[in-house]
Amino acid sequence: MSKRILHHPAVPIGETTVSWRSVGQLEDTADFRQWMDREFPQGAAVLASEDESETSRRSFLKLMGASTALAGFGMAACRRPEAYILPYTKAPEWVIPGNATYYASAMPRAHGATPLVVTTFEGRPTKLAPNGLHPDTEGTDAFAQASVLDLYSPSRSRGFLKSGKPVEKTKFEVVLATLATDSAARIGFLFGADDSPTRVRLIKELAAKYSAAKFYQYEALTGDSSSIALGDGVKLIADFSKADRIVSLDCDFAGVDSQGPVTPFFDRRKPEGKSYDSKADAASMNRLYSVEAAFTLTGGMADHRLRVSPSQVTAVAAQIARGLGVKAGVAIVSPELSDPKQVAWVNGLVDDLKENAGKSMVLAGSRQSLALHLLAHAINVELGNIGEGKPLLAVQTDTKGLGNLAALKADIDSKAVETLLVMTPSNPIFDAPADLQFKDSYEKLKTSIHLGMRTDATAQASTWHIPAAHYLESWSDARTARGTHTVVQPMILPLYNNCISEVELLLALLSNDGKLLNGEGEKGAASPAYAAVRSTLSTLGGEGETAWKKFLRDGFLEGSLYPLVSPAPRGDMSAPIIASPPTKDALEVIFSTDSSIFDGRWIDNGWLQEAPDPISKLTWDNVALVAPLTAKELGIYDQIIQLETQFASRSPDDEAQNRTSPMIQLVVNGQTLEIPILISFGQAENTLVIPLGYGQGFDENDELKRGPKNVDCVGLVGVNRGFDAYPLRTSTTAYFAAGATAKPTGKRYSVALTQEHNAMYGRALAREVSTQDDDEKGSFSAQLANVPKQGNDAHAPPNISLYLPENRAGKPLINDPIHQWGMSIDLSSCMGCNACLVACQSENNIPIVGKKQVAMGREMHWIRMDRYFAAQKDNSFDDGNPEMVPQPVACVQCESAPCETVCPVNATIHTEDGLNAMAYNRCIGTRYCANNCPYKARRFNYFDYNKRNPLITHNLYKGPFGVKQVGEAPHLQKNPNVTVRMRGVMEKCTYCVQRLQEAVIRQKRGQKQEALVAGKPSTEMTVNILTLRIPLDSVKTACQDACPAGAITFGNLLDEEKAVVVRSKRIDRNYDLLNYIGTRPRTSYLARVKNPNPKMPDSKFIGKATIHMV
Amino acid sequence: MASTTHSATETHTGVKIPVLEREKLILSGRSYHWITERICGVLENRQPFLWWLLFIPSALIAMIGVGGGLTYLVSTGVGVWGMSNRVFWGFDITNFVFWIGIGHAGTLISAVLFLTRQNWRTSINRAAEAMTIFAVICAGIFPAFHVGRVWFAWFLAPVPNANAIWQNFKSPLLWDVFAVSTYFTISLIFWYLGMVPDLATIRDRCKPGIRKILYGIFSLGWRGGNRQWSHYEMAYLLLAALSTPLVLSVHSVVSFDFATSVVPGWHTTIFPPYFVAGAIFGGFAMVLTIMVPARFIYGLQDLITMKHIDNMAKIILLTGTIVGYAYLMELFVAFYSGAIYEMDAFKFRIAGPYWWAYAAMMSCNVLSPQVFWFKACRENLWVIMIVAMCVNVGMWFERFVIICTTLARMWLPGDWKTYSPSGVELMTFVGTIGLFLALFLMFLRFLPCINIAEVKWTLLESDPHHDELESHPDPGVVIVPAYQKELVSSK
Repeated sequence: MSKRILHHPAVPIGETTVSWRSVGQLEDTADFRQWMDREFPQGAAVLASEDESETSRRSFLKLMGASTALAGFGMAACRRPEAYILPYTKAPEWVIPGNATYYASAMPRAHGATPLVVTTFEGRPTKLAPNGLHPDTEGTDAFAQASVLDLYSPSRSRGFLKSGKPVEKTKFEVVLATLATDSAARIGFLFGADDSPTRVRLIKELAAKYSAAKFYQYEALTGDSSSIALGDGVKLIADFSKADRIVSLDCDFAGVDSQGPVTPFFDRRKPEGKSYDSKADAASMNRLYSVEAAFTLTGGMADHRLRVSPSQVTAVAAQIARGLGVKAGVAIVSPELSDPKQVAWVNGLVDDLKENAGKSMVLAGSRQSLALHLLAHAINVELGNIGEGKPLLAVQTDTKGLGNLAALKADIDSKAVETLLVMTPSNPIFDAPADLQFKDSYEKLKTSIHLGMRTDATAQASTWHIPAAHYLESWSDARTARGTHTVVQPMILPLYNNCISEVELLLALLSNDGKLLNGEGEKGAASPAYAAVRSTLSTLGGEGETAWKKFLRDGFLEGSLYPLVSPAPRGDMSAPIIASPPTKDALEVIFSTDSSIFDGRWIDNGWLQEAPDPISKLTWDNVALVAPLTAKELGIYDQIIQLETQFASRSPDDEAQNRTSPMIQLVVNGQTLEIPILISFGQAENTLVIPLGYGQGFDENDELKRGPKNVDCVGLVGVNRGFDAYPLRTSTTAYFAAGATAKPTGKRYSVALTQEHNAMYGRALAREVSTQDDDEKGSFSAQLANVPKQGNDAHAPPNISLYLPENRAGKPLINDPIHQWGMSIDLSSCMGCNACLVACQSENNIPIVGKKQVAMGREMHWIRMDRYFAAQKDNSFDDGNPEMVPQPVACVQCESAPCETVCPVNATIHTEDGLNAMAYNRCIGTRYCANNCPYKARRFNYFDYNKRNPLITHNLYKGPFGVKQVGEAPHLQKNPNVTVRMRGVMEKCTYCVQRLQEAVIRQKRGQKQEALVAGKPSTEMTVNILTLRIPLDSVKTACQDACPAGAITFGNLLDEEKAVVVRSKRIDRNYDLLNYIGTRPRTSYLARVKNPNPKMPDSKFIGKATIHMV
Repeated sequence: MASTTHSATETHTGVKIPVLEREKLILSGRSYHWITERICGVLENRQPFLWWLLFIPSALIAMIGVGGGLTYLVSTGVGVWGMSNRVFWGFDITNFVFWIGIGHAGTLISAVLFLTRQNWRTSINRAAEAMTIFAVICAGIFPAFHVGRVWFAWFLAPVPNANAIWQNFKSPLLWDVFAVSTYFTISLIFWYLGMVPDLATIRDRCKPGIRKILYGIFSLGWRGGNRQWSHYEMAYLLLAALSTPLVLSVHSVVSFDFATSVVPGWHTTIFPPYFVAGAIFGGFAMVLTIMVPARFIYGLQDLITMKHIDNMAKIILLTGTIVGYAYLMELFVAFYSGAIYEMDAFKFRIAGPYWWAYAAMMSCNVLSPQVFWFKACRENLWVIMIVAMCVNVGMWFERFVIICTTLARMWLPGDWKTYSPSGVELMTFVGTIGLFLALFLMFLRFLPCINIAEVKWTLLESDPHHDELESHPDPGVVIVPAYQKELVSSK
């Protein structure tokens, strides 16, 4: 504030006034005039003096004070993020900054591509969603959801390597040019198991160009029994919509062993139909029988589950075959089941299959033996399940005539292959069966060229490593499970200039001069892969510009299915040798596919690493899983905490951050592995389950001091993670090995579990009913009616609120008449995979926090995937086989939210449309809301997880001295419509409010457009509730979108019966979690329905997880 | 009155009823002068070696624990403490409630006992009030710094702002902010006002110099005139009346943080009275913990007599029993509610992973004060010190049990996880103990630790009518000597 200078009206000299203020004025002397100017003689020096325009003492002090104060604050608080914003000189088409554009693409995978719609912002792909237009759409699993992160991965390979050392691209181009001109080269190609029509076409061209070229296919964990049994490239595709009875013989078709689009299976787990529009009908449900060793996602869904070790599955299958009168040779000689309970179980199953001949399917796990596949096929043929219009279709894929890894090894050893191009997503040096000694042969190659996104063990062992382009960066095409020709189109040029796609590499070899063109191709033209994909489309019947445009827009070519065949199974199979059941001195080890990192390829994907294993709830590592009884026999049960004892005292191995697991020494196939061990419920006795893919590299920070070892083979995410079980496998025991011994070592290893208590402790949380009559609770319909009254809710008094839902005038307090959002989660179709969890992570910019923080219980997932085991005390059939019920818990958006009342600063408030909103900017982080949240659905940023790299040891604890950011590109994945939260802020599920708002705004804008189009003046526009309401079910949350099981429904509750979500909430199975508290949640759950066969010996123990709770 | 008494005595013929002699509050017939000398001597003389031995480590621990710990916390994130996304509050709120509880004895002694004319309060009220101030300072550190973004903690203050966002007046945490800050302000004023006459005494005794100037400033020109005394007493009375409801309100409001929630084990109507009783219980234990040694070190046995200690022991016994009743009532209500969640919450407290905390709480808070039923125990300073220490520990565990055990086992077993504090958290807690001790030692060093003016009122000489010297007005009464042991001062 500057001092006011008073300006008196000037009085001309000599003028006399009628009135005067003082004698001085009357006299009007020069002195007086000067005095008047100064007005306040005391401050004269400051005011009108000459130096007023310059710095006076006072203003100097003022400025000094202010600048000192601001310097103090400015240093701390006024840091400005440095950013350079440049306009496009040539804008990519359709890009409007801030607006998302959506493109159809697909993720190529071994069991068939996953059709996707990719969300991009300013050219950055940020989020993947299933392509709803696609005939083979089946949601997206966690792997597909997380694959977008790989694009921006800090450990992504970005430069050429020669023998593990960085080199210039030009060096490799010379090699390639030589190779392209040498048509006599003894060249081999090793592909992955995915199927791409363009690649198939190029293989033919390569075979024509290179007379000695050989082609192979390899993926570590996709078994080949099926194609050996049925014929080269022949596979069975399951059409679950037609299957009333499904028998899974060690086949995790809902998880990591896909057999075809799985959504129809889940649709038939809902007794009211897919969209809840009919009355509950048990007959409309399918029935799943599962024979497996350890719980898989599929086994958890099973109506009847038989626990046997994998080697015994064939014996069970043979028993089934005999019961059905199948005449296959394998069935006759295989030993009879000895356990009368198992025999009774199989007999019940056989009767059910007979009754449902032609409407059933028997699925053999792709990792199982050839004998089992032959048996399963014989059973399916006997039942008439295969063929057009039947549940199973036999198709001929394009991946015909490709050699396997053993053939490749033989060819290398015999010098038939001297140059090898490795393009498989697997990592043969790391994951090939140990007895193959593949590495020794690999080193004999004259030139080995590896194309991959990671500098893994194979990249390091190769002569050349080429950084691969991500599938979101390259032109290609793929086949889905049923063979639909699907486009893989790039969203962005390769982030790093050197990255090359598989098609581009093959095209370079096919060109005359071997010139490697990638990304933008030559002189601004499209990549040569673009032309290749386009010409493939025209050969498959998509001629012309329109067809191409449609192909790009829809993402697929209509009617391009694999041809059906009638396979003739091999008849030369001699009787299988079925090993005797495992004992405690000869355990059976199961090498399982990991549900986080698959075969090890995603070890550097933080989202997947931090997603808890659906069964064991373990993150960031693998451990050996063992049944409780076996652990007791091995003498280590007491060392593994007894979490199930209701009021267990705190053991030395306590919960929370200090949780450790005892380690065992495992000897199998002559190899030794030390690995920690955890209890797994419902697992067959005397088996050990070890997920594969971990232990790829260690540095000096490793907990067990295993490093530095292979540290170049992994990035920051995957280093020091888990234990490598690949050396234990041989070609014949690739998936399970008998005769293992285990003994405790006395060492312990820290494990990060997201859930430490597996029982519901008598609380009816994840509710379950059975279609069969219960002795106490009555018929199916009676049980359904009783769902809202299970457990404590049976005798809890009704909730009477002191607060009325409307004000005195009768107007509802939550009063948006246009939209009221609601959700339901159907536990009957939810299998507990992590698709929603990872989808949420990618949509909502949820950071990963690292193993240590997960161990402390600080993971940030907005959806917590709870999984409960419920054992029946009197289960006389098999008391070691509990029910497994998953329950995803996110913020349930309570109408009467306990969190809202306790926040002192109004940072969490209720919106008019029924959301429990979180104002991050207002949050100061008292954490009171989270304590008062009965669902514990809130997540607190204990550190700057988004800004500081949680993967470097202790980095989070270094505060301002810590390293910032994970790699150089993770911010590119962030969804610009969602705030990136800083530390000290609470966050939680918002029902994807950014999507809801976008839909609402789009609806408003659409009306304006309509008026404009109609040419009407704005005054004639009518705007009312109905015109402002978004179209029925037109907005999806990220979790709902991703869910392959259709378990999540979401919509506007004001749409009434028309909306799926409203219908789902009106059926009997609907209940509110923790209804007792009276929070009136907007997310409700639908009880799981089990559909057991009453004739089975275990039927009365099925579907009873919560029904008898009081 | 005196004359009628004499005549009555002569005419009485019936059985004489024995009545205990009113005990002397100041022993050994100490004079005004002795009292002034002794109390002022505490701060005027050189501090004993023990003072330095306690002060230097306390101050260091406070600097490292509170200063260092909080600097690290604010610069790095709340993650340096041990809380998780399951148990969001741990040591922070446990320590807050613990310290705020300790502050309660001060107000009770200074205000409630003043209004009820309990003259024995005069020997201990000053120190107890100081303890209150320091305990509230220690308490305030935790809620202020446990928030994720402490630089926005001013959002809690109802400051008009451009966004027109107000605080959520439904939130008990906001009531807490108001309750604690009111309590602190009133306690500070009350403490200071009561100290003005004594500060003037010290000022008058000082040699000219900086000390004299400072004490002169803080004694606000007190001359001890009648008008000043008359205004002073009225002001003191009014402040006492103002702070009396605070004894009940502060801890009731703190308990609302828990009682108004939906968390099983917190959502209990018994919490406000139970918290207040517990606070007084813990506060008196802390007064004893500090005053018993101080009385020896500074030779104040004639001023803080066994009578005072006896009274405080009785209050501890009473409030400890109330607390014990509350514990049992909680269990009964959980059982009687029929809700599995409530039942389990208490089962987990008793036999869950934190059973040892519950056992420590029960034995320290309910069992240990029961020894005060026995006179011998109330007279044995060792027993008193041990029980007081037990109660301090027990009350801390009570808060730990309420907060951490409950949060570790809430509604959904899927989110159950135990909590253990980090080193930084422990350091900060120990730091507040250091801060409390350092502040208290500074108080002994610079301020009169006993109310010089008021304690003199209890002397015989302060009663111009010599009522106490006269025999009992009722002729049927015979005065028997008090059981109080006269402790002879060493000096």
